[in-house]
Amino acid sequence: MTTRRSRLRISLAVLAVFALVAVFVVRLVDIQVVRADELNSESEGKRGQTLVTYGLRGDIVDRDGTPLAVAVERFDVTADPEAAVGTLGLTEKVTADLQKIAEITGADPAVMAAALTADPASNFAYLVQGITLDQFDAVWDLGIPWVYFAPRHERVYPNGQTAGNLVGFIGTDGPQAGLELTEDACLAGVNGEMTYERGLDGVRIPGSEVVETAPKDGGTLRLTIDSDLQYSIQQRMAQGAQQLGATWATAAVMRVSDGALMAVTDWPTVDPNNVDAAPRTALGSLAFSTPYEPGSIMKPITAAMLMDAGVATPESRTVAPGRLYLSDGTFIKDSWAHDDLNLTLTGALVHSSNTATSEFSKLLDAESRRQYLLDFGFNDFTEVGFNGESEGWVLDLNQWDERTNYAVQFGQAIQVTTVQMASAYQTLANGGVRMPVHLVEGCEWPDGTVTETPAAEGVRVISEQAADDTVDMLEMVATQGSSADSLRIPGYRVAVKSGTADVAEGGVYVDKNVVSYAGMVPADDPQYVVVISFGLPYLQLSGVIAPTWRDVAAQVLTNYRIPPTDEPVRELPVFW
Amino acid sequence: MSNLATARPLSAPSIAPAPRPRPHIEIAPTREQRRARPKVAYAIITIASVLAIFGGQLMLSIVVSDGAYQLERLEVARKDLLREQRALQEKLAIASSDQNLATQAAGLGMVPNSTQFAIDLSSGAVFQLPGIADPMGCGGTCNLVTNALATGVPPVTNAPPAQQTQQQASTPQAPPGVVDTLPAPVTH
Repeated sequence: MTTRRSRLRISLAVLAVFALVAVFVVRLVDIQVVRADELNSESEGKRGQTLVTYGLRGDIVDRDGTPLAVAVERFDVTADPEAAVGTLGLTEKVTADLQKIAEITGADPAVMAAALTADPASNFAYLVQGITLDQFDAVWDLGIPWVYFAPRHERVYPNGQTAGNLVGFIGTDGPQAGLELTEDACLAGVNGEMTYERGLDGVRIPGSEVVETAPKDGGTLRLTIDSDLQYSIQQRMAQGAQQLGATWATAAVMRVSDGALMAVTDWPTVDPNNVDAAPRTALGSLAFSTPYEPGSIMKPITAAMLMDAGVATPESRTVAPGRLYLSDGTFIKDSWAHDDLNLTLTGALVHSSNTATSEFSKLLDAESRRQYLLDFGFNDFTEVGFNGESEGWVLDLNQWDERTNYAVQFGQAIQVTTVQMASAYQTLANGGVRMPVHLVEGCEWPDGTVTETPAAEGVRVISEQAADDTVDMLEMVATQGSSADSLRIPGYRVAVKSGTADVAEGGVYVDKNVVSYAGMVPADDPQYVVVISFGLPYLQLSGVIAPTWRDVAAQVLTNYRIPPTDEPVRELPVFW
Repeated sequence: MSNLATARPLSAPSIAPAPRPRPHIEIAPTREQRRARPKVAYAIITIASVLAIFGGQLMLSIVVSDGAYQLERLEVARKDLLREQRALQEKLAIASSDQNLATQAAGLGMVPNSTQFAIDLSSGAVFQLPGIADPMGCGGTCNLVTNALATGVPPVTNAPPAQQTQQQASTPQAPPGVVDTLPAPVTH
């Protein structure tokens, strides 16, 4: 009997032990296996701290490294209204503290007080946003217990309007314009994330840091732009535009050897630090985005294609009528009245004769001439791919009526941008080889690699002979043309062509002109192409901007310390 | 349980001879056994070592956490210095902007040089450059290319800051080396 009872007791005890163990095992598996992840993350959430590590946005610098856009740290001053105001309302102490903050940051104490009292039960309110490091240090030193700080990154443009048209700007929703927008892949930094565990006193527990994702700084975008030159030309173009009462003005300076843009200016232009102050039309670059009928600066392109096709030479002769009548009874004329003139091809440029250019154009079929225009880079985006860039237009061949067929060759019924025209003149200056237009020298990454380097291969558009002859003819324009005195740069040889274009609005030519000068310096060994254009709200011949072109070209020669030359000009006949 | 008491029978009264004192005999441990026996010294050594290890570990952990504090301090210092560096770079960039330089130069009464000369390094020839594009003689006064950031920069003056002069007077400095030599062509 005793043995049976004790055996039962033992069995019960064993069962109880097993049951207990089973419960423990189930619980253990539940905790260690089934809910392991959930519990781990919960525990890390309590012990661990997640930190966003910032990837800085890369700088935009000019060719010499002058910063045009940089990322800077700013601080938001926030407050805990419950701690500051609570149920007591604005005490004298708090008001005095706000006054001190206001003195440092220049913020309005009344606005800050309103932010504090708006919801006294809340724990967060902005006092001042975006203060500098100096101001931050000063406010920090006040040691106000209910004030907190949050750092943030902002963008500043240390050179203001200098190249503001190209650099673009950043709004609250990220990059808005210019290179900031199109080169975001280079510039943008990628934020990282790091967790660590910390002790009661807030110190990181050694060895507990886990880098979830490493931050990645953006690359430095190096431009081909020379900011000093850009500034000088921007100032000169602004002077010209104000004197003339122009509605807009653009200029482009391109290096002949590789198609690099040394300066691209627009007037008016934006100061990226103060976007609101700029007119809407000034937020981008008109030099890239706004095509216009260029007028007579197209004539050298016509001469070059005729000479390349072998149908003309600088000495080729034609009789330029005062009026060239078309089959519909309308006519083409020049800017001044004249009888028949015996002009050479050079003379057609020197005297900028539309009728002579039209006569010479008859030597080559329209299809070939149109193809040359495309080869020179018209009717297509440049390699820059600037934000909002226009491809301009060259009409399809089936839209070339009799007038268009001639007009295109002296720069009407065709639209081009300033940068496209600079590229075409670069082709002439570079012995007929068109180099890819570029604005970016490269994207330099923090690890030392460089991407987005420009293509070095050019495309031959016309023969070297045709190109060099065209430059020589443009030198005759500079020395024999009507604005020769205004264009002279003592000691230097220049090659340039003027253009006065009619402006069409809604399909009708109105009383407005676009006046342009395009050329290259020095003419004996062209190194830089200079193109300037002004949009005028009245009728005016291009001669008024000859001094502007001269000044810009002189600035380029001075900037790059190009020595003068005493080589004589190649004299070409103008009349026959 | 029985109620039967039993008496222990007395042993026969026999006169036993007085027992001879038996010699104390025990098994003599071998030398190995004697050596293997625990001694107090060992116990002391063991306990001391354990304590020493605990102590060492404690010290190590103190040093490590002290290092963590130092690391934290240095990390904060690094961050502050980087922050300061960037802030100074920003100030420098604004101070060296074209707008600020032009304005400051104009404020000091400087005018743009219209007749600039350059030296051709390869030939040593001096030539005059065609000058600058500023027919209105703006220099830094026209403010045609604006910069919202440069407007807040305080103007520089000819007079050196008082503090700096004082400092220079009190600490004699070695004469500065000649640094502004013109680059000259290497001639043989």
